[in-house]
Amino acid sequence: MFFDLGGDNRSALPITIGRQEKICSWSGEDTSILHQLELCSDSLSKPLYYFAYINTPVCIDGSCKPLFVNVYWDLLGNYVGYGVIEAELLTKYDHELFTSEDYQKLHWLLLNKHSILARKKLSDLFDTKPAKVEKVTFNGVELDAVSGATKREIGQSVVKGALYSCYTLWHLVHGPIADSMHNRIKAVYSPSDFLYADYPPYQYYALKQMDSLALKQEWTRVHEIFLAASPLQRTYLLKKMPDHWFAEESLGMSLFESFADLDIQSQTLLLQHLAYTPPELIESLADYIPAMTRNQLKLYLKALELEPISTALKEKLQVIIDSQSYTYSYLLEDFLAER
Amino acid sequence: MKIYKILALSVFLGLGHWGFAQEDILLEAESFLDKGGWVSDPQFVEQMGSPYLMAHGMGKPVRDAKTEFVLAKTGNYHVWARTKNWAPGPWEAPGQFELHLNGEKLGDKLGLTPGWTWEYVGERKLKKGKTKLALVDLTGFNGRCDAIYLSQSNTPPPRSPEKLSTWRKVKLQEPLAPETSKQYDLVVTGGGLAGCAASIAAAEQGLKVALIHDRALLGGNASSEIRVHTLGIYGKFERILKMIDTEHYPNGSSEAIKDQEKRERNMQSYENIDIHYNFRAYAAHAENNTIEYVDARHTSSGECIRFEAPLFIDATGDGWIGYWAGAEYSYGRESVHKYGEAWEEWGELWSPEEADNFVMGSSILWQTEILDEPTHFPLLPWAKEVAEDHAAVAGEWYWEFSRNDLHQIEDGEEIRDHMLRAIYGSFANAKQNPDNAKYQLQWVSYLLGKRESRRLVGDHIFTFKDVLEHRQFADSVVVEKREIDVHYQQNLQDENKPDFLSTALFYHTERYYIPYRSLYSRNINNLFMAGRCFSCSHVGLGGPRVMLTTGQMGAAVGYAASLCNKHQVQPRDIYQDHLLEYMNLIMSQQEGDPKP
Repeated sequence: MFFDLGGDNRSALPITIGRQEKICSWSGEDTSILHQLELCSDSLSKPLYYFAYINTPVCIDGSCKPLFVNVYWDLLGNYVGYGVIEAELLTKYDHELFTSEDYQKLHWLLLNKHSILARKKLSDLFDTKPAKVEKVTFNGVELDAVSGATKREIGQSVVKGALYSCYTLWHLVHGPIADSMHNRIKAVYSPSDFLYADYPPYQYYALKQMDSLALKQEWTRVHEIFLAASPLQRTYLLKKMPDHWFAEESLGMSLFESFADLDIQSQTLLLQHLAYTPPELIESLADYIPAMTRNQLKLYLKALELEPISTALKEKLQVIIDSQSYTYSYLLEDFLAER
Repeated sequence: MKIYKILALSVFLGLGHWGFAQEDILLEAESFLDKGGWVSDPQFVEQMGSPYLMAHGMGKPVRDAKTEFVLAKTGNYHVWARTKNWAPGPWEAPGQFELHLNGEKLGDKLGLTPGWTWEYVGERKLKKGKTKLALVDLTGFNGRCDAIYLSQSNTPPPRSPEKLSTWRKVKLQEPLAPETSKQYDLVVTGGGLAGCAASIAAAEQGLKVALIHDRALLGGNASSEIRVHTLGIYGKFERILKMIDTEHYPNGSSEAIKDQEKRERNMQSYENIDIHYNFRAYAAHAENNTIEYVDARHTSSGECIRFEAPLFIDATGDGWIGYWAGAEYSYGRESVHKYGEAWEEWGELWSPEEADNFVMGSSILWQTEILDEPTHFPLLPWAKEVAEDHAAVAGEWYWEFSRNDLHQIEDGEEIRDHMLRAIYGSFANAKQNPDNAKYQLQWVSYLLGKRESRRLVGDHIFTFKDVLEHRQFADSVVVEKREIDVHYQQNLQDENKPDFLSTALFYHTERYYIPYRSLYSRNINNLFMAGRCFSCSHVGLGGPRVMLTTGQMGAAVGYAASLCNKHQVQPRDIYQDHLLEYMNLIMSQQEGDPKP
């Protein structure tokens, strides 16, 4: 959204802003230098993102060098990008300039708010006398703990030769300032802007704030988000939908019509609502049988047991059996044999 | 003990004025005299009706399974085999085999029909007397056979599980109750780390203990058949747990075999532990909320034994004893609000707003070896459907499968088979890379390493809140410092990820404690539980499910059982009336303080 490496692999400010408002200042763990957090809004005062110009020393073995970057967060306090200043390009320990891959890697590291760096102290990483850690060995080979797999994980996630810069920046970006932004969401939250934003974190935040009535009022948009969402978010939404929705044919149908394109978890949650679904809709779902897993089919057939089934449906099931292409046809055969 | 289980029935049919005797014979495959290279699989008895034989050859056909039986009459016999195509689809069935009678093939290939069913093999004239039968594996890819039925009638056995169960009991002339009963002070069901530790603790205090275990090897997930290393700390039970634990080898390592030998040797050194290997419990009967006995059946011979005792420990992992006895239990994830188990950073992945049945999955571990020369492994369309383009030459704990339409117990066979397809398919993909030409599958488990299933409810339900608040209890018998580690399937966040890989969320914490009250049933008076079926929430299970912790639970209830025996009281009474004595007993057996 905000971050773009661009042709020269450095970023400029993402979009034109109308207003910059100072929110607060904070400092990192090891320096007293204050950084200013600003909220950028458009010309109509609609909040866009947070921004901070960071100027911090990065120190190793008593020698320090400055690091200059612009950092951007979304309105939820999630890091979204950074930019460097033409005259102050990033360098590694040996003063070599960052490559375009290094800039990209730093971005990926900062995007990961669950980075292993979160659990590490500076001294764990850089001290020549590392903190005592429990070493786990087998046949004399170290298998785990910081100096084994963990060190590898750290090494893979940071820019080689720029561990200090990576560590310092990660903790500045994800430290208390991220919580500050998160804690003032109400000041920047607009239900409509968030729901209709072309940015999933805002969409899901808005959905989490909505009760079932609000979800229904915004159904067209909610359905659009549902279809594009990850299985995790889809299942969250499905669980939030009250059972009586499925009694309404239009709502139920709009959910079921995409059945074959949904992930299995979401499909199963849909089928678990069949007890509330009108019989006509249940019958029409037979079209989706070829996409059902074994247990999904069992759920579906169980729903069919509640009502007499039509000749047309029996014929439809027979067509699926005769096609010999559906793995669980034998369950359909058993079902028809008992009806 | 019967060596094998066959039955010859003479059924007289009154057909008008003429009657005749027809003979039929049911042969249970797991009772074959010589199983050859086929393995006996008792994991899914409750769902499909019986242990079965499986040709687990990792792609190389296994040696024939053979048996003999005696026919009382010469005549034409129709033959059926109960089998299934375990990966049905538009491809050749993976597990195909043939049936040979007296050295001659009968009928077509078997293992072709989806779902457990009786496949008709053919008709053959057989002479009175000894008859030889063999299962001939054709693929090495997990063909399976539950039973063979020969009959002079051409009526196939019933297909539906309920009818089949009744039919099978009639054919096998099973008595209503086991004819053998044994009495003990304590019956422990499940020989994983928890069950072993419980047995040791109770036996050392002088109890006569029955340990019922459905495999030939003790250790459960830590056994050399599943090969998960034991994690956690020893707590107050270092001496006991060191007799049965493992080294910290990589999961799946053949080093597990050394620890297996140690475990068996130590367990067998206790004269007052009767280890009933290869007995799988199938019933627990309770009167007035008190279990009177557990019935178990030998997984090959079919011999049944009734185990009677005043006290029982459910260390089955799946909570079977409690389930059969009517104990309260839970399954799935509680709402985040139920016990206040939120970890905001991970939201729904950690604990959902609405309760659901997503649980941590089961794993199948596997290992490869590098040969001196290139070796072939075929492309497998039936495995490709699951593995897609994923390529791998090694597996670890994160090869794990869970899905919300699958129950970790009721759908265990499908979960296991899905993992086999994932492994074979991913390995086949990897073999397309010339760099992997010399790789060969060395070992693939066929036993599910389960993480989560039923959780029996005790007087205390251990939750994440107990961890967050570092709660200490007067009856803290288990202590742990390992992270709370909850898994989720990778494809929940990204649909493009393989559905058989998981990710772990680690909540790092200081020590936490589990009270004794989480280790006995709330409503079954004489039932303890130890292992992953102890009383906890879904998130609460995340930390203590590892095996040194479950071992601590086992030892703790073993000691509690000894005091129940001494005072002739029930598990709850130990907490209410004998807690000081109980805690002192635990401390007195301890070698030093808990490992720092």
